[in-house]
Amino acid sequence: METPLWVPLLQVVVIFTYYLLLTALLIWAERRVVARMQSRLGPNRVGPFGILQTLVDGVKMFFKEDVTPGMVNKLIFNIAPIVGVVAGFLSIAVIPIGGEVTLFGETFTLVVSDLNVGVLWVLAMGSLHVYSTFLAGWASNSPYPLMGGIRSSAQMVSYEIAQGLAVASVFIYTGSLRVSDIVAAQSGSGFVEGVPGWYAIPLFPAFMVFVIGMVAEAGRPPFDLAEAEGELVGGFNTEYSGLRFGMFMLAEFMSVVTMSAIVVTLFLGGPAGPTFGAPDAVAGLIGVFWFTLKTALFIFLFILLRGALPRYRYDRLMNLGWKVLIPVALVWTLVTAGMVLLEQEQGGFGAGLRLTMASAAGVILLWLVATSRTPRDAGDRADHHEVAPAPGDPAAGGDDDVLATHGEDVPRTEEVSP
Amino acid sequence: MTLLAQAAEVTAGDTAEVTLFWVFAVLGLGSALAVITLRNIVHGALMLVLNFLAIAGLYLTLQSAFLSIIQVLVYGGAIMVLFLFVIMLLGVDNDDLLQADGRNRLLAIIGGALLAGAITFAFVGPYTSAASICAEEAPAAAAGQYDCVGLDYEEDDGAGVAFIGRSMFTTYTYPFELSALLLTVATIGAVILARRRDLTPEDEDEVVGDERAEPTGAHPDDRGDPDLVLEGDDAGAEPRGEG
Amino acid sequence: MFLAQATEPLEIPEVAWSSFAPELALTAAALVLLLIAIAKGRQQLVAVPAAVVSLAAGIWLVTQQLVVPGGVAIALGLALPALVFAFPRRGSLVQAWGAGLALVGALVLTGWQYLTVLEGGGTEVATIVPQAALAGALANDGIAFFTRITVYLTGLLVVPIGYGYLQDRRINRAEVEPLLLLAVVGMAALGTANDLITLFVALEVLSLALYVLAGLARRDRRSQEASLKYFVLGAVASAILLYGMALTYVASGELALPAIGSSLGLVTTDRVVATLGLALITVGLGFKVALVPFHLWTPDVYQGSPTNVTAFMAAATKAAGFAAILRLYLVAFPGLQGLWVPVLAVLAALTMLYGAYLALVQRDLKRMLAYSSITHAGYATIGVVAVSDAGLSGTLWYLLTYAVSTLGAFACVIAIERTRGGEVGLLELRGLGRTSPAIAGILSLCLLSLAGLPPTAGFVGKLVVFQAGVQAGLTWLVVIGVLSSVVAAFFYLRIAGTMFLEDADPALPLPAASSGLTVGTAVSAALVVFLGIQPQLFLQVADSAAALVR
Repeated sequence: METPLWVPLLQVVVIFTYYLLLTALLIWAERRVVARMQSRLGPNRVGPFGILQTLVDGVKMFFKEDVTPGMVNKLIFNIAPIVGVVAGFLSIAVIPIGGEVTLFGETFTLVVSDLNVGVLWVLAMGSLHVYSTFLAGWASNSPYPLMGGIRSSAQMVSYEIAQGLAVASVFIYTGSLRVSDIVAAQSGSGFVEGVPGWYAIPLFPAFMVFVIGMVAEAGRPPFDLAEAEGELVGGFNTEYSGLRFGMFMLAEFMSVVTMSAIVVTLFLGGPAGPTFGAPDAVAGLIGVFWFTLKTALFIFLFILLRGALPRYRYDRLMNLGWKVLIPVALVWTLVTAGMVLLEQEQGGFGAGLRLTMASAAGVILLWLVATSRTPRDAGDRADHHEVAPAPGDPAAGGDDDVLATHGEDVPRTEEVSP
Repeated sequence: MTLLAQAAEVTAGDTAEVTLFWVFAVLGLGSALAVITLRNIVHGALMLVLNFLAIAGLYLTLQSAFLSIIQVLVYGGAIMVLFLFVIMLLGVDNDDLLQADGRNRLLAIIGGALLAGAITFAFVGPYTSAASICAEEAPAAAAGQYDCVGLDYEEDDGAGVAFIGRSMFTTYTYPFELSALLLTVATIGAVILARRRDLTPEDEDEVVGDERAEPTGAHPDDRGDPDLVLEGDDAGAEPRGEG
Repeated sequence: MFLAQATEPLEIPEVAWSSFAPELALTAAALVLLLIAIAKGRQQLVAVPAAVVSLAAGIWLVTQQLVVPGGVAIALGLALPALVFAFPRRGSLVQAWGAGLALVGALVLTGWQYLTVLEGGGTEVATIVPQAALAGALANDGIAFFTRITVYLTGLLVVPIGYGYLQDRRINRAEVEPLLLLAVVGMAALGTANDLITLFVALEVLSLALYVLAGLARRDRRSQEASLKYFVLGAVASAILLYGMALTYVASGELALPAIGSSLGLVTTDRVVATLGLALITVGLGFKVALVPFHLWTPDVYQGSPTNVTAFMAAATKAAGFAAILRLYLVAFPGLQGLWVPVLAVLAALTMLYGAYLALVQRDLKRMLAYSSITHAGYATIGVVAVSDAGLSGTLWYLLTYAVSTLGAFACVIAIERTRGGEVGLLELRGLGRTSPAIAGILSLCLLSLAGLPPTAGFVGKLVVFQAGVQAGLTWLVVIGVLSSVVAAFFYLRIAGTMFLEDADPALPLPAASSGLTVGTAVSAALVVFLGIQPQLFLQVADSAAALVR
């Protein structure tokens, strides 16, 4: 069956418009919500509740003078923001935002392309996104941006491993890499009737790892070490202005939306939700509603995190990634594989046993995270042994960890806990 | 270049694939050349990234989407990031680059040209002529002088995932497990090389106290590094003459 | 069904555990030792569970009528907590003993394997029946058996030899023994590898471990240089080798060596691509065993590395590398014999002459032994190009004799080095025969063996290899070999002469051997003599080992 050309075109246009709109709304929502959390009003002049503020800001960015400092590597300096935006756009291509829609006799899903290795595509694009911040930092030819770039590359590579492992357990559980298969596998109800079969429940540890990892991958507070305006001025984007700075902003906020969409798709059933007996042609559109609702929930989580948490210290960020998330995800991948094997060999466990096991595993994970010496204790010990230089002995430490800022390992202003 | 065209026509059926093949082939070759000719080391590394992406594209034209994505994810996204990370962390300037002298450069060019020529020669006849059974028009059974080599690749929905997994866990279990050892060795090696302080001595009272203790070791270069020791004792090392 | 499994369940293949039992034991030992090294102060926490698991596995194996592997598992399981208990605050000693015992266990398991694949039930005409295992990834035949023996024996001797030395240089790091064991596993796996992928991965395991071991003395610039040179050049060689393997795969469509062999034997197979692959493989493997002109790394690496590591590299890597060469050329490339035999013969001739010539002008003992090891790679190649059962068994036998001789020589170098600083030059050996005759005597014995004079092991080794060469009609090569031996004998004897005929410099401290070094040296020397006087036992085994999985 030959699909007419307008169908893929429509898919592309709809999806990209959808994500752009969501991104614009996110920016506005973030400013409003954070303002509320800080007892301010936030933007409220342009449009109802200031909802058009983003648009106005965009126009301002576009027409602002775009300064290119003299010492930069011009080619890479210009390419870097484009890489970020392109990778951000490409990564959402495999995420279905709704169910099947019938229009003019053509039935299609609201997704650009349902690749058979879809989830890996998202991860791959995420990994290419690193180049944006990384190259921006290097091309600026200036110390703070370089630090930001180096930080972001190490951070991304580290958290990619944990995220990849978390996703691996989804693959194992589904038996497919295709996004639509993963969504379909979650569509039924889980081991208890009435509770949706979303993977967030049976694969709870993987879900947790993924959610923590996605904050780091998006470079958002409390893991926005690449920008860290308190330490690095603006991090990788210090030397940028005007349109190109706008592109970085766009890429960052888009990655928030993308990551939320991915976590919804992988762990919360994507567009699945009650359709209230609507006809098939409309049911797909109801899926869009559910998808948007779930995604908005995670976007809200991102905003709350930004408003509520102080920035992490870099070595603790690394400790969290390598000593907590990766082991947990690795062990959980093995457990998932064992569960699937049991299912195949012996028909698996009863529903109650499964639920008990899953929640027990979640509790154990939480307990581990709560009581583990890392990252805080390990970081503190690192202070005594490695980072803090002995007086008069510069060789004893100090330059040990280039990524930690010199001499201000404890960000005093931000460590204040309520 | 006609060789490439021929190869393209032989391996790919429809025009879209041929076009893609051309694009990626030119991109791959061009970026590979750029890697070795560019003076700026970061530009060179970026060209290598481009090269990996082009090769991923070639995999895609061969209908191996899984391999293609893995290529982007692992080589483009992880390995090259670490490459660049190290380059930037060390702050390598262009002045530090190795300057190949004329003789070495000449040798390298001759060697490379010889290898390239030999490979061209080895492939252009057998795999692009009508005698090869890779050519679609050739009667495979009768005139098949040259085997068209490939895995017995099952067309499956999973873009080769199932196939790769299957062979990894059946035919190639042993090398797969061996590669786990390889990673272990690599990890230990990385820790040994990177760790500023090694596993501290167990006999703490003997070594840790004095950071600048002169070890009795015979090698002057080893001095001043008591951290490197696992323990301070020495079983039978009292020097005793052998005769 | 809760799971949406898109693929049907996989048939899990039968695993022939016994086919790689020695490597399995060593891997387990290496990992446990690593954990013990990490768990400082709480070693019993690692040792006791590991011992329990090992004991349980051993008892289970015994109940399955597998008495020998079960016994090994039980013995190792009992030894581990005992060691930790006996030397509570001396980590290196635990490590050294643990590694040594594990290697003994591996040797026992190898012997057990040998008996199970033997045919003829202990009579004199017993031959090895080659067995392929694990979907053809691994072959248990003569090469595998002999490589295992050589490599495990080398490892077993290197551990005590290096123990005191590492402490002297303060580089007795906790990771040394695990790395050594893993390198040994890689070498043994290389000896058994029967397909290209296994071969490459095994080669990388051992290479990576050796890169790290070579750079163990981090504060020593020469050690760093050795490590870096070895790593960079080794990586390039690996890449070339891999390229060659890829081309071979293109030509034959197969990865398993026997299948490549039969595919390349067909007329329809594309010879040109296969030849290219063969050429690149030859370059890559030639680097690993240091054939001229791919030897350039050897002197610097051998000189810079810690001496015990050098000894291990010289003895064991050569054995493993030649095992791979033998298997590749004899199993996968017999169809291209007309091509590789002359090329390898020329390389062998070059290697023997050039190595001997350069060894002649060296002043540093380690550097000289490095060039001597290059020369010996040439001799061993004669057995390969003979393309006969005699040549195969000759090479295997030669590698064993070379391993024990060179180990003994390096052990003596260590003894001298311990008290005399970094370098041992020829001048510093003056009069050693009068001041410490034991070390000088053993060093001379090992050098005589390396030179190939009777009644040492080296003599028998050279004899067997040269015999195979003459039988194969390569008289010219053997003549070159003899010539090179004469040159080599000159510089070996010059050392002996320096030690025994010249006066000692009283200012130089006397060499000293620790107990471990004494044991290692003595055993090496004893083996040199024993294999020289009583070669029949092992020669018989070597002759029976000529059967290959094809």
